Amino acid sequence: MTEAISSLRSQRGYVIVDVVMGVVLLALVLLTTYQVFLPTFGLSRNASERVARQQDVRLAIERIARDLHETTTAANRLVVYGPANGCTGSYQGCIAFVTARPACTGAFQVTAGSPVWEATIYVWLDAPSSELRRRCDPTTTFPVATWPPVLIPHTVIGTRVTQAAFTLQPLGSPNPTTVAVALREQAATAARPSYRYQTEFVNQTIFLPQNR
Amino acid sequence: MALVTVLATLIIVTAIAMSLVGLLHTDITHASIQHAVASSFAVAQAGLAEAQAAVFAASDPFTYTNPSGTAGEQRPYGQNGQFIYWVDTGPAAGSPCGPGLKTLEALGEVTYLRRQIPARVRACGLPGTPYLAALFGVSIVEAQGATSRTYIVPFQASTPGSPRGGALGSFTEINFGDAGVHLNAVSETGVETLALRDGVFPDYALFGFSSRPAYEANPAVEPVPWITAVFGDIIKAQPTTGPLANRCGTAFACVTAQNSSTDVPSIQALRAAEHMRHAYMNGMVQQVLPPLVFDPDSMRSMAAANGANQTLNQDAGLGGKTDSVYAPAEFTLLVAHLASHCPPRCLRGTVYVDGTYRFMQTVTLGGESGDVTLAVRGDLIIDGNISVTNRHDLSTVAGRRLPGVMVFGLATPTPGSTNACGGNQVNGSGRFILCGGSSQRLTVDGLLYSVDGMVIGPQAMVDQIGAMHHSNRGTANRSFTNQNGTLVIRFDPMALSAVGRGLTVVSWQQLR
Repeated sequence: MTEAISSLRSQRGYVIVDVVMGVVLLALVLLTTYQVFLPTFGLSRNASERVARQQDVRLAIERIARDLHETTTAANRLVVYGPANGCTGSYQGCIAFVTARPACTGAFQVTAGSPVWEATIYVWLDAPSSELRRRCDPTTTFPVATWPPVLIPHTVIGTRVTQAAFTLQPLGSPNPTTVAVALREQAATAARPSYRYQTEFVNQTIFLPQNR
Repeated sequence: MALVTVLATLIIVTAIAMSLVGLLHTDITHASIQHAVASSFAVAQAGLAEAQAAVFAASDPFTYTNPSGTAGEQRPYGQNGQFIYWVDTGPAAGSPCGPGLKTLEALGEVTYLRRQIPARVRACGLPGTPYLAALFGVSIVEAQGATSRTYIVPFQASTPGSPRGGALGSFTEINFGDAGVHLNAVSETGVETLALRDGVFPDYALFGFSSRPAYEANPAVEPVPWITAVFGDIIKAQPTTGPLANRCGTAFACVTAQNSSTDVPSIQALRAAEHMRHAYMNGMVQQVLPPLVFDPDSMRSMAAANGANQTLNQDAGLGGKTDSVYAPAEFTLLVAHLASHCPPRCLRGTVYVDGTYRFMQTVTLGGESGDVTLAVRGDLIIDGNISVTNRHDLSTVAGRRLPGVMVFGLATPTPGSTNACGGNQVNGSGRFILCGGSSQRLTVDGLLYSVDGMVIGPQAMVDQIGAMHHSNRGTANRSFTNQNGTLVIRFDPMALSAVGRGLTVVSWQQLR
């Protein structure tokens, strides 16, 4: 019995101080690691957010790209509305153009090779909701003279859009040939007061309608 | 213990780092895929342009198909891209664009992460047609007089603006000589009708409208529906060979009002500032276009080989004449016979008159749906109050492509000139003159061409399905003058394929 006790005493073991020291060291190392990675996390969040927003605006533009490519620059078939013709208040960046696709989604219609216009597409930014919206009006191929047309029902093609602008180019030309689209989108994290990174993203693209 | 701690930390750090890299990589991948989507569209467009160039360069654009057939013509493009195009083969086979048109289709692909990102586009094109203009003049194109009426409407409009009306163009100048000139002024003050070969129509119906537009008192404000969208453009053109001099001093043709030599910049300015209240077109565009040249000798050869009129020649007193090349005196005999026998016994094929010719009696050349091309090697004059008809079978592509009247002029015009009518001087330079009168009517299909210009005299009526191109031989003559007459061109772009060169795209769509 005495031998057994003396054998245990002869073995070296952990005392409570050792354990406490180990935990403290581990905590220090983890804390240091976290501190090292903290900016990296921020950077990652920023990169991720930026790419996500850029993809958002790219997707919004992509949703109208085919329609804009397929439309015409004929007078009053492609109309950009400003405050003077009703695009003001809760409306921003209002544009209308015709499509040769029935109900805006069907097969492109041609007769003797030429497009047969089937419907009118309206796109605008609803400022209060920051939604970029698209309305298909299959009842007419002549956009309204003054904004707003009947805008219900519509689909949302972009969210968190803070600014939208459509411009016919060359600027001031009575015979424009291209449409410039500029969308500004705000990051979801922009509301956080501690957010130190870029919060707004802009995509500007120029479209060349291909039909006469 | 310390070793275990370090190892555990390393494992945690590595896991976090790897997930970070993965996260960033995924985002970049998404963005790159979207870039590839945009790139593939550009590559497809490049393929379509290549297909257009191939048709343009073809010796026979009408029958051209891409040489590899259904497999398509495959070309690398850019760093990771390639396109395949088809002309009337593969996915473009079966005339999806319609008879007489070429279907061009291109597939653009960009490789990203071993995936093919595709885009597919299609265009419908008119072969043998270097440009689209319903009425085009090398020198001045003008409308004069308060009762001058010109309508350039689409052939077979399905809905308003589908297709749009034809364009009006010049290499030098388009002049509106009088504030009363009407151009596409559809039923401005009340319903106006036009008596054409196939019935009497309200003028707005020719553009596809079901009712009369409501006009605004202010000329700067457009009528409702917004009718200008359904009209063609005014083409301020410049030849590919370089600018032609005009009195405005502009490199491209200018648009002028009355005697002014100032270029009018827009339709709005023409209507409001220049007081041309009755002129309606879509817009004004500048284009560089190829000058057109037709060969009189090839027409003569075709007429010489045309034996289809042998019996008619005999009946008209031209016994033994087997071809269709006539001296003016011979053609007078033939016209006298046709006047009382056509229809049903009418001319056929290409007919060539070797010298200046003057129609002095009402005549139908080829019947209701013929295939006559009248070529004149001199001037062509239609006396006052005379009707001349030369209609084609427009139910066929061949009928629509056939030229109607070609006035080539003498190889060397005579030194002096004579008064054809109404002060219009002729010397064999290749003028086409309608003397006018309330009973004068020219009903013609296909291309109407003159080497030294056309005049529509007072009260004359021209009812054409096709297109006009009028040249100039370096004389002071205008290429086209509507002098208080009425011109209705139902523009059929296929009429311009008589040129036989080039390709003009009439529609474009994105399939994918």
